[in-house]
Amino acid sequence: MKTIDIPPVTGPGFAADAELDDRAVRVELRGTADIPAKNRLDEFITRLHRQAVLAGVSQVNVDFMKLDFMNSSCLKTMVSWIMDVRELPAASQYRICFRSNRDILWQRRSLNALKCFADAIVTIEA
Amino acid sequence: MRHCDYIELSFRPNVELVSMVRRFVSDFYSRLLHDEDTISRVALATHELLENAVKYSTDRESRIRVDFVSDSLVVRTWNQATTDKLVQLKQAFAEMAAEPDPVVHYYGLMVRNARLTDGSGLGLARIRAEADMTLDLDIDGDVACIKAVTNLAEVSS
Repeated sequence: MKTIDIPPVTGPGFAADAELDDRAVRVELRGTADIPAKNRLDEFITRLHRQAVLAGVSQVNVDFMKLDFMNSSCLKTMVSWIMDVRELPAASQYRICFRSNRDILWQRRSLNALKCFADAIVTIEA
Repeated sequence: MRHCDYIELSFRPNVELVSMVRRFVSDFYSRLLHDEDTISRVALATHELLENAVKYSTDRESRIRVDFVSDSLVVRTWNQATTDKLVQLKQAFAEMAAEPDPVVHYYGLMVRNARLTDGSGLGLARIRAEADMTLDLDIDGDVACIKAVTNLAEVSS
């Protein structure tokens, strides 16, 4: 059975972790993704993408349920990640499914923007 | 009376305090407006504008004011900035003015800036497209004032 090696992000204000679940990676982001969290998020997503490709997963599920806010710098990290997936050979591409929190209203707008940006790769689960 | 209700802060924060201000603005206007969508959009604009003001302030001081003006809720930030940064701001606003569709402009910047390593370059476009707010820039000497406005005409307070 394949495993992934992605150390969780901990620390003040923001946390993230990932685990392999069958053919998908389950990711959870929590807290506030803003400038203080930016470098940690970048490192986490870079490693996540590399491991997802190595593991040959078909999907990465990203849980935003406990994500209070994401600034534009961290949103750009998501955009860059989606671009990385889009630039993979078709056979290596995977889908990214964001699970949003209906009560956190910015998520609907920001995730819709990501979906419109890359409709073939991004799905949203409300 | 809506026009009496405002917040103004002038301080020397670091970027870690921006989220605290966003939450404060959100809580403050939750008491005055019964419109979670507007509050969420104003909170987003507050965060993006103040983060930029703090990040680029040359004297570390930033100022933010959120208030009712007629039937609008207005977020304004002020900060001193370098000449280069003021030129960049003018260019960013000129680009926005040249593309009347906020969403088209936003997606275009996403593609163009995806590989940027210094900043996102998305903050202002995000306010316009996601928060559905109009933006204005006023430069007085070396001080930049950015204003984000949302209309409340159809919202009951």
